[in-house]
Amino acid sequence: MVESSPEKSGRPWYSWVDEQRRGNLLSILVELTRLQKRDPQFILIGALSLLIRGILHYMVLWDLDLLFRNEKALHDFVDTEKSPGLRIIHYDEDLMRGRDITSLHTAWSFDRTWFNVDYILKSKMFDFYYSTVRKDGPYEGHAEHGGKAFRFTLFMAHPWDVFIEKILSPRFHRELEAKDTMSVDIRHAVRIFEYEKDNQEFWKTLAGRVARLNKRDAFRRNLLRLLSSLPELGFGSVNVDTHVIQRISDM
Amino acid sequence: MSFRYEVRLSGAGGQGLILAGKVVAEAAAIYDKKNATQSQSYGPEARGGASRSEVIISDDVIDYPKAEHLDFLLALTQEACDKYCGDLKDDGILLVDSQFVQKVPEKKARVFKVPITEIAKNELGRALVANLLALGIFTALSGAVSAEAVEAAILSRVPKGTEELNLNAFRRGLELGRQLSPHG
Repeated sequence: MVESSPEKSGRPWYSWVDEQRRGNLLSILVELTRLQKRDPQFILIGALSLLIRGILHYMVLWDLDLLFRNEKALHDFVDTEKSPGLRIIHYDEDLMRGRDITSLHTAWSFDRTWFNVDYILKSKMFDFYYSTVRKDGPYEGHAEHGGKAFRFTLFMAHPWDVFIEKILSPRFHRELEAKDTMSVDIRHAVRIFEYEKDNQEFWKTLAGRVARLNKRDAFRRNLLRLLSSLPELGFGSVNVDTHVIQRISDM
Repeated sequence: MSFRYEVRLSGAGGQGLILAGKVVAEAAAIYDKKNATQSQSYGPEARGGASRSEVIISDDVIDYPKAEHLDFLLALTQEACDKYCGDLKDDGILLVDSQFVQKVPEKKARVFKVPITEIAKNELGRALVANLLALGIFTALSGAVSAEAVEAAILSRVPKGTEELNLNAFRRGLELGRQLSPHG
């Protein structure tokens, strides 16, 4: 079991969720805990997993991304009975099938607000995240809001795996090439880098994971490109020591 | 009577419309303290295929978060314009990128044709900020969100070193929208 750790910012993660929708999100996390099986059929990925782990510190309208094991798991989840107080609207009439990603966009409401919950299928990515999640076990979190305590236990993507997926993703590559200053993927990758760059275990684990994926060259190239573009992307204040560059080059 | 405003931003993948929709919803919900929902849909390909983002802004509780009767439609491609124009209310607003949308269907709605991508590219130096330029025009024409709230929402999404470029695009759109709008 992975315990939630104190925030570097000194603020609880949920203070970065607007107050109006905070109770709804926390209720959804508790509901997902209830709907989860011992052997996970879905993993919480994306920005919210980074927010909950205290890596992101800004306020936007967050979405909740659930990566499913396979299409059957997704359909079973849709058909599973939910708590009576929960309303779910499907934005898409059916699964939206793309080349690399299949998704179903929904909105969940326990109160007077709506929270986007996206159901996602990405080829091979479930197994990638699952290999770490299986070892670490679920993440246990707690929060207090409106005089109520919320406890949730969820299988959640490890931020180092999120980092690897982002650096290797075609979208990240395109946004880096275009020097897209509003790229969410670039912003998140930079935040994880800032958070972990002095952690030797981070680099060691990354090297092993990337080598096993047989993507070492692409990873090294994209990451070095990101770091050399930081000033142009608006992240000039992020300090990149030469020993970090050396470490990546030696990967 | 309570205020409910339905917006659809449509075009192709890679044009930043999903992000633009999120900025509008964040401006309304976080900074203008209204109720807002935002949804998105991509076509078969993340880049190049159809893409749309919908936002509902309301003073009251939003019972149903899907947009059905549009008050505002932005169409950056002909395909998007043809596909979604039918959902626009008679008293709605249609904003099209005149470089890519040549034929505008017969509608009672108010229609505004602006070479959005061309202005972003030629005046601001980057076609990539066409979405923020369009947001500026939307803000001025619709009055559904305040310019201050949209600026705050943009600032929360961009790194410190790029604030000027992104805000300039939004403000240029705001200026264009105010010139176009009878209320401007």
